[in-house]
Amino acid sequence: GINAEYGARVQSTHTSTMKSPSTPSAPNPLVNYYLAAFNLLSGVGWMVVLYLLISHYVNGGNYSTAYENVGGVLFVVQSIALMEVVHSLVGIVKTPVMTVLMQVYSRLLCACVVTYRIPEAQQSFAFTTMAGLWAVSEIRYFYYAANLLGLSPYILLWLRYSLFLVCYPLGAGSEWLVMFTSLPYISRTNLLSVDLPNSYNFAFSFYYFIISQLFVWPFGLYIVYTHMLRQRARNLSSPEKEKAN
Amino acid sequence: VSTQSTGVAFYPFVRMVKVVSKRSNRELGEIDLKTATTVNELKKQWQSKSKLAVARHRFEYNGVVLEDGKSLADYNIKDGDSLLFRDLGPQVGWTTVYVVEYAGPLILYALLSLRPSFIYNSSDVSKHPLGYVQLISLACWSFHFIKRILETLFVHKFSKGTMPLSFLFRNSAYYWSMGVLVGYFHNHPLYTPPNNVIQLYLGLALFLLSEVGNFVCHLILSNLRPAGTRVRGIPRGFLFEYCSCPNYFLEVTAWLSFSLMTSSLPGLIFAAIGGMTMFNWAVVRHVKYIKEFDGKEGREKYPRRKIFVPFLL
Repeated sequence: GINAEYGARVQSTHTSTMKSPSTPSAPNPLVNYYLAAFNLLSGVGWMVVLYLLISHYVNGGNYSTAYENVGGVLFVVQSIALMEVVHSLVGIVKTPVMTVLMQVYSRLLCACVVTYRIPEAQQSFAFTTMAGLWAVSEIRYFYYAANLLGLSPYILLWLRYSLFLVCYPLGAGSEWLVMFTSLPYISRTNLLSVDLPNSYNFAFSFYYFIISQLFVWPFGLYIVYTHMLRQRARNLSSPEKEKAN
Repeated sequence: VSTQSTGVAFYPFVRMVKVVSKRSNRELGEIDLKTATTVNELKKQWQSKSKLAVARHRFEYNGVVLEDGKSLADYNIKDGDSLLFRDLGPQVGWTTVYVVEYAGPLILYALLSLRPSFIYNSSDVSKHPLGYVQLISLACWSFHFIKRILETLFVHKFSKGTMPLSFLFRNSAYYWSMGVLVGYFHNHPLYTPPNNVIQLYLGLALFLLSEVGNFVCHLILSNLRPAGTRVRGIPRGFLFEYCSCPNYFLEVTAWLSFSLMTSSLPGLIFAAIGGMTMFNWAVVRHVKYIKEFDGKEGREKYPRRKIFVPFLL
């Protein structure tokens, strides 16, 4: 009996509960409406991205030209997600800042840095799968918006906690490939890199930085995926099902 | 028969207490107290029974954590009562952690100043031996961490004896990687010193002033607490009159001055990360002070002070 206690650990103050970004911290109705509008706008934005992506192919387009149709809107819509960091900093949303930063970081890196600057990345097939899977998983915005407006349709709950099962691994894989495809260009052009000597005595190699991220990505996926699995078990358990039905 | 701190004239003898897991609510065992009357003696009994080191024990009774140095009577524990227990996991002493985490940057920076050929280009190294500013940087960096180690061994009075073992690796990873970050660039053959002496000597002067001031703060804090106790008092004098944690503030100014002196972005990064962490600590400490010294029941009232930056923040 005593041996079972060996497994117990001190609760770290860094354990994030990773509440959904829509969990408001104050019951101020104006803030709620703002957040609901924000989430709705983001959700609609991602639907537009998905629409542009699909229509590109429906009109006979090739994956190497998909970016021309989708890239601009993708950049804008993804940049809006930066506001989630502000919401957390200001405190109208309960999610800790570090958590939001990590969530937003991978998107910003892939969408606003890598794909934005690098032709090889834009023309890759992985770009299409990446953008498409992102758009599908952003159904979560509609789930948040509904919650903020007091609605909780079971279908949105189910989608929010089930789509990730497929979207996260395929999405992370696409992000990895997009980064991998970008390496030759970065190496050729020394993109976003700084060399010594300079008066700040600092050097940065974006090339090696991206390589380091290629190693980090599988661990990031593992962490996020297992977290979502736990959330799924918690949210889609039977009592909830009966309540929602 | 004696008057205990609870004011009760007679305290019934406690022969046995039950130990219940806080996590699972299962009974883990019983402690046969024999002649034990203090928390320390209780923990020693549990250590021999459970084979868990005393430092890992966390006992709770009626929502209050049992503190070392107190007696069972202080908590009104009666014979046969249950105590909630949690295993805090492998622990390591604060002194050990501090010495290990500070030794890293000290040694790593010094090693980098030797310019090993597997890190730096040897032909560059031979063309650019360590310059004047680089030597000053080496001296200041080493001075800072030697000072920290000496303070850990001779000045600081820690309120808790141990922390979880994982913290040793987490903290060391931070300090050692900062040591490599700053050390790599400051010892680099292509290092560029600041282009004017004012920047150099102003930075150096501010650095030294900050180090001395930080040391004075540590002395004041240390003198607040008699050796071997965990007493907390209101720090007074010097910059403590103007903010709760001038020691953290002076640490940040030391590193900002160091970055100015060496014209260094890595130094600034180190200052920024450390500064943000210390700011968080300062807020927590400030809140603790205000809560503890609320002016009621004969306690002092904590004076109005800023948190981190004198006069400002």
